[in-house]
Amino acid sequence: MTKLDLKNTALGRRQFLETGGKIGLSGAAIALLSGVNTACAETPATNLQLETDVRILNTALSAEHEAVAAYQVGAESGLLTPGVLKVAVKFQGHHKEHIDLLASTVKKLGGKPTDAKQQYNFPVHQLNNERDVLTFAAGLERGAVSAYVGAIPLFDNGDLAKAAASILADEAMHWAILRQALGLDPVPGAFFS
Amino acid sequence: MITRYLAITLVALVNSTIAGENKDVSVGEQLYVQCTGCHSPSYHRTGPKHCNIVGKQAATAKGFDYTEALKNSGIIWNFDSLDLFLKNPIKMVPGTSMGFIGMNQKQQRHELIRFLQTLDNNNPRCQ
Ligand code: HEC
Repeated sequence: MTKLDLKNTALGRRQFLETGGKIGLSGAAIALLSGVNTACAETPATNLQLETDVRILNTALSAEHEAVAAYQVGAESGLLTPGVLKVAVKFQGHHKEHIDLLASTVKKLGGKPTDAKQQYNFPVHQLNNERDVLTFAAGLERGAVSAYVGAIPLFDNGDLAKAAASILADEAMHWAILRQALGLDPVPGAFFS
Repeated sequence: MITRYLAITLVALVNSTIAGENKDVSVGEQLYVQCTGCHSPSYHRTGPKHCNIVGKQAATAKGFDYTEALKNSGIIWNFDSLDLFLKNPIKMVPGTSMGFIGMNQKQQRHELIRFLQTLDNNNPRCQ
């Protein structure tokens, strides 16, 4: 698994407490942080920026959980031919790795990683053949690319933006391969927002 | 007096023409791809569903776990509040979990909102 290097920012030492859906800092943590902030020559992140970063990571994490569940539905559908199934399982594995990275990063920042939902309401009744499953998966990957495009500029911490961009790159490749498998132009443009 | 009446009629005419032109929401629908990483019209995902969002009080769709920030925002979703939110969600609702930088082009936001307005019970995507 890739490890995200947070040493530049000393964020790893910061402690968060989860309080009723809101992330708040304990008094001790704030004291510790104020020390870190003044000792740290790099532009220090404020608590607010840090909380925002954690929230963005958790939203991305939630989308990755959904992707893993969606590929599971596809894999268990019995609609995929062996070659396509192999690719689907591989892509699902990537999303699992994204989860590991995002969740461990949230923890490192002192936050609580979002868990997968108990249940996803995928439009399974619309999945009747391999093409439907591929179209569904391609749509999810396309959406994920956009979600990262919209999220990355929000990160206060450049290391987090870099890690998220590396995930975006992987998901864009998934999308291209799925489009190729559908007989569509795999790379239908130069820019994607 | 007559001039004033004419002016009002003219404004009404122009407005209805604009409204007529706006029935095509294909541009907004294409822009909606920026939302589909997290949202679907008809079911909750990472973000809440969008069917019947216009006219609704923020953070009131059943079965979605909203942030306190959005729950306490007091926002009613109409054209103007959506415009402000989509321009910069985190600025309008600090603490929201909608991790999206926003859309800085007004024209695009308006096209997208016009598409959102069509997501009512008559829309097949909401059935
Ligand atoms: C990265 C994921 C993500 C993306 C991309 C995203 N949203 Fe959201 N959205 C969310 C989340 C999560 C919430 C719930 C926010 C909260 O509880 O603070 C939300 C909430 C909303 C709400 C308020 C809903 C309600 O029930 O009050 C609207 C409106 C909305 N989003 C519209 C959009 C539109 C339009 C787009 C595309 C331009 C978009 N969102 C893109 C994740 C996202």
